Amino acid sequence: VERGGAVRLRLGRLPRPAGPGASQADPEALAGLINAGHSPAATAFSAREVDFSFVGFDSVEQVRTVAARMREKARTDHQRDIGVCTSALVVCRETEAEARAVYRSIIEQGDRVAADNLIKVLGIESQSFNDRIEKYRERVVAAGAPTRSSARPSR
Amino acid sequence: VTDQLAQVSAAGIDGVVFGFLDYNEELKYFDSAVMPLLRQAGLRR
Repeated sequence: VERGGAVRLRLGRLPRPAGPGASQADPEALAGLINAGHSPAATAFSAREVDFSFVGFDSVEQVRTVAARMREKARTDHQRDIGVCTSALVVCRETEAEARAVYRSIIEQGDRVAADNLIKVLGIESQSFNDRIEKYRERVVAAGAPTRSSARPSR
Repeated sequence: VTDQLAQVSAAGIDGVVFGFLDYNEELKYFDSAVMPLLRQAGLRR
């Protein structure tokens, strides 16, 4: 965990040290560096260092603006091209009405106290979500909801 | 689901991490019901 709320991971096969019998790993085989923080420090870190920045999703318009801003910052400040990713809760059922009913049920049955606790920690310690805490509450409830048999895919 | 992911892709997003309510059940369903549509839409190869 980086100062400023950025979290970074290096994924994939790391090159082994050169030496007798050591394999020469292809650097291209390394997966990229990603960052999911959005405090000012984390945004600056993303622009400077990472291959992919993860941004929160509220709406298509919001994510279009945020993705463009992130790419532009990397280009302007560091002459780099970076990718932008996001995350989504997927609820797929035979019909949209069924899927929306499942989502409503997740929200209704979610653990709001746990969601509030997580939101408090995110708000105080990461500053990545200051402008969207309220919307994020619903997402946290959905992500932490217990599994219900009624919410399983229909066959 | 495919329509919404197509909108997200057109908005300039290169990848999406998915969450599911019940991965055990829903991933199988997603694979059989949604993945073919994503391929058809050119969002997956």
